[in-house]
Amino acid sequence: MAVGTSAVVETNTALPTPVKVGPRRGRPWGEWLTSYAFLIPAIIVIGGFTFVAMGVALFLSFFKYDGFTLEWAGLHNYAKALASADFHRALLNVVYYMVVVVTCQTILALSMALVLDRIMVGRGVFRTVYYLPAITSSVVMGLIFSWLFSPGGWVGSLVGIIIPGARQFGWLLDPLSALPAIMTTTIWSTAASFMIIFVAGLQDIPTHIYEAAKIDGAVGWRSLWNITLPLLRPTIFLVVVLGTIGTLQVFDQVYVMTNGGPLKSTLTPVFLIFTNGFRDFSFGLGAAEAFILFAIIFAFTLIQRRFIDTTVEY
Amino acid sequence: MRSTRLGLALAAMAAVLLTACGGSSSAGGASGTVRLSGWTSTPAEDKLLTDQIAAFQVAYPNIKVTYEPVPKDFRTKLKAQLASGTEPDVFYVELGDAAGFMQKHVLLDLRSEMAKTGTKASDFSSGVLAAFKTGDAIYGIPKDFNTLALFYNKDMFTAAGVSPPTKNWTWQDLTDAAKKLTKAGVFGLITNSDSARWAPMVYQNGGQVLNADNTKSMLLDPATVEATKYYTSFKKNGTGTYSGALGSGIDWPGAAFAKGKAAMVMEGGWLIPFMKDYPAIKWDAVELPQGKSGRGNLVFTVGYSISAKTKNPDASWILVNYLTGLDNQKTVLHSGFALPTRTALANDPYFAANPAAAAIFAGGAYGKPFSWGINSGKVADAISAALERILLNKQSVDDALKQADKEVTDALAS
Amino acid sequence: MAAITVDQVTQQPSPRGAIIAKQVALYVALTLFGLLMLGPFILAIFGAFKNTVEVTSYPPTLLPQVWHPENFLDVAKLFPSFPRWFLNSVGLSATVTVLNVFFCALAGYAFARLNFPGRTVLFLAVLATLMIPLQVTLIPKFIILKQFGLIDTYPGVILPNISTAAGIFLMTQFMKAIPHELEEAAVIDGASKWTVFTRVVLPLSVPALTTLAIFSFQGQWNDFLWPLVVLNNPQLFTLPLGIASFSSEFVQNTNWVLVGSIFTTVPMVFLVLFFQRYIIKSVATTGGK
Repeated sequence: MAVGTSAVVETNTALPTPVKVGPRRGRPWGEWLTSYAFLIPAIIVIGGFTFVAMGVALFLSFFKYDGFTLEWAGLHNYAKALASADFHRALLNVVYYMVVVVTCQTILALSMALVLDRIMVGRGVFRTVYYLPAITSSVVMGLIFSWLFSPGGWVGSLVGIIIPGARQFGWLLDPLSALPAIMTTTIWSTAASFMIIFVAGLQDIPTHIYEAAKIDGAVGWRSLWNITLPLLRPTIFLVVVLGTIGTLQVFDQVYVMTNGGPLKSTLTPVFLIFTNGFRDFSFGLGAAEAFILFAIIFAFTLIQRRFIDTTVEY
Repeated sequence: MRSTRLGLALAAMAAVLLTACGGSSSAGGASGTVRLSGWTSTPAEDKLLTDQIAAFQVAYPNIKVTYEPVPKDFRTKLKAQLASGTEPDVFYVELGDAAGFMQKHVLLDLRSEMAKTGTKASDFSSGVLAAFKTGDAIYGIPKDFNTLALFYNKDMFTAAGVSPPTKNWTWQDLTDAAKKLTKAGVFGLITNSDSARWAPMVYQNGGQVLNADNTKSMLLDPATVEATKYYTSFKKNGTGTYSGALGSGIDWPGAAFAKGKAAMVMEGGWLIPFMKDYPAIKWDAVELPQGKSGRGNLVFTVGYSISAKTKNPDASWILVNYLTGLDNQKTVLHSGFALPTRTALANDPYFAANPAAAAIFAGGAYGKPFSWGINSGKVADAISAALERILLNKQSVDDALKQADKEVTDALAS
Repeated sequence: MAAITVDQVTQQPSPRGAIIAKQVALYVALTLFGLLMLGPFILAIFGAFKNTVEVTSYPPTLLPQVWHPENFLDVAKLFPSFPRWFLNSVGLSATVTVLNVFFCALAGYAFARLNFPGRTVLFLAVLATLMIPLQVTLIPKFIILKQFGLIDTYPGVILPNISTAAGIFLMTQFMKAIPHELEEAAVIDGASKWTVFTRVVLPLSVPALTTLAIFSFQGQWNDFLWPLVVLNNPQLFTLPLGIASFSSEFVQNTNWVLVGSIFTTVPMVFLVLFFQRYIIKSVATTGGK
């Protein structure tokens, strides 16, 4: 290997072309059948259940459906959702939320995993401790953090040591701080979740690559930037996409901690979908809102796929 | 038609009298399995219900009751069950859903069943039963109810030299007392951005929220606007505030009251067991003060309804009738958990011994159900959001109500 | 053999003391950060020993003024079904974990390594199922479940979770990252796809499989809404459902809820502590070939 050149070459296909061995005999039916055989169980479950349910939901979005009777509505639900000021606000809130949370949780999770990779003693204990926040259900998390963020609660008391007067501040009651408080709640637990994914991902990087790079003088930050991160791309893609999909659909924390307030600063699309469907007898409208959100999530995923999900080969 | 109904009623009454005289409590014939579902409450209350069901099984051995408790998110589950046709025979219906369910013909009209056991609409407090009626049809039997009362801290009143509230208080008395009782760290009255605390004042002032058949917004009615100005005046004058502003983890008026940060709060019967954990506070409760139109209150209630598609209407009704029967309601009353909905219990000795409970019970006679039709949720949202903007000084009362009026009108139109 | 650069020659080796100091600093930082992550848990644990008034008192106390270990007994007494809920949860979670890991590994391999028409479309379709919230698919799924007669049954509860889109996505990404050389060697030796999968890819995927196992178990363990809607019979309730009955709308027994949360969390802690040891470099990535 020449000194100084990057040790990796990038290809731009999203899914790698596998090696084909043996004589080519027209269409590789055998391989195709095998592939489908591998996929069948999973596809039956997801396809037969979730996908069909999605189809039903899409169908319902063109109707006024109150849980009992169907009334054709055409694009009325979509028009109504797109015109609703609340829905606009909810979309803005949730995109803001997504950008901050995905960025912070990804960086935090990766940092934690990298640091954990460097220590030898007590690695298991630290991994478990750092993973604990991920174990709590989002409802319990919401309850605990509501308590922590309440005026005069722990967060206030701790901040009050540095900023006098901040002790009784109602983090969840102020329109500017409520959503960031929920962001903190989420990041605390999802960073832990994604950390374990990065820990697993780091195990897949062969050590001989690091050794070879060290000989070339690539250590520390350079090693991180030029070797680890590119090789972690599939994992980073996984974390970012799952993070995006998850944050754009945030519900539990809002439901438990703020109910969409104060002054609609924590209103999110799924909260509206829930209210429309289960409180106001408008499932059709809820379904339409869900598919508008779906389009946005899908768009983000495609963009991320284009930029992050490239495979690294040597 | 009328004579047939009268004839049926007479026959039913005769049947009931005969069986009562006979001492047997089983209405012959009804059998089968009845599925009952509701949300769980405190362990003590749940035990009361399961005991009642057990007693019912003994009294009616031909009817098997399957109790399906739902710990949380009852409404979500019920709607999923209704949409798929798998709902229980008997289930709780809360006010927020009652109007919608009635409109969608989800519930059984109970009148014919009631006739079979001689249960009359007049057995129940009319203000409370109204929540489950459409016209003359009855779609649910309220099992208990709550209204709001004015809870006050006795020591604070004594210390400030103000005579404690009585049931004859007016708005002026309230304003004066709140002013005198506000001092450092303590507020006279808690007023949150909760439509369920604002509405009684609207009614006391002769205002309306929606018109009689819930089709038009009345938020710009002068009496309503005046009441809103009064409701938010406490925060404005510093003699009151909303519970979130108090810090110390206080997240509802009851907590403010229990921690001695408020002299008066407008809450319901749920505050009574809560205060048991705070023996330092000496308190009592009276009916809400009267406005220029007299008394006004909200009724919160839950009813037992029967699915319109039940395969067992007779057995289901017998269960409902039993659980809301006089004896069972009396037991619940004496346990202190909830207030009965039967008028026959209005003079029960329990009320003499528990004036706070009596004050809350009294509201049932003139209170209006906390429901504004099928769009209740959206209407309440718009009002709460408006109150929030007013209390946070983001909008004047007039502008906030104008915005809420528009939002409500849009909601009603869809 | 790479040429030696000027940079390397002039690099000074670090003194021993500096290395130790760095390690100590690292551990201190790790511990402090660990306390931050653990903070809410520590508070919750102490809260479980407080009485109802102290647990919501302000300013909040760390240690209980009076210890109430009887909270745990009270919970056991008032909710005698607790052990049953626990066992129900364990059974369901274990079943879902085994099935999910197996099916997702199969599908992940197909997406990562096999070539077939419609691969990209199918992958995106699988991903798409994650983009619709449960609040919208709940009722359609429930209606489908009714057609199969699976309401109020355990198969009905676990059916949506025995093969999750997120799990497939996870396995696909991990399997893509596995170096090709070993698989290519096996194929040259004449191995079938299935043999390559079981003999080569799966062993290399142990960190991923372990991670997925932890997530699957945890997902099912904490799952609330779907079991709530599907199950009518309280004997079948899982732990989260049981614990939800600790507090009602008006009576917040926060200390009991915390007791319940501890019971829900502790088994997961042991599970993770046990399984995380499998998230290690396999021989293939350390030794190389």
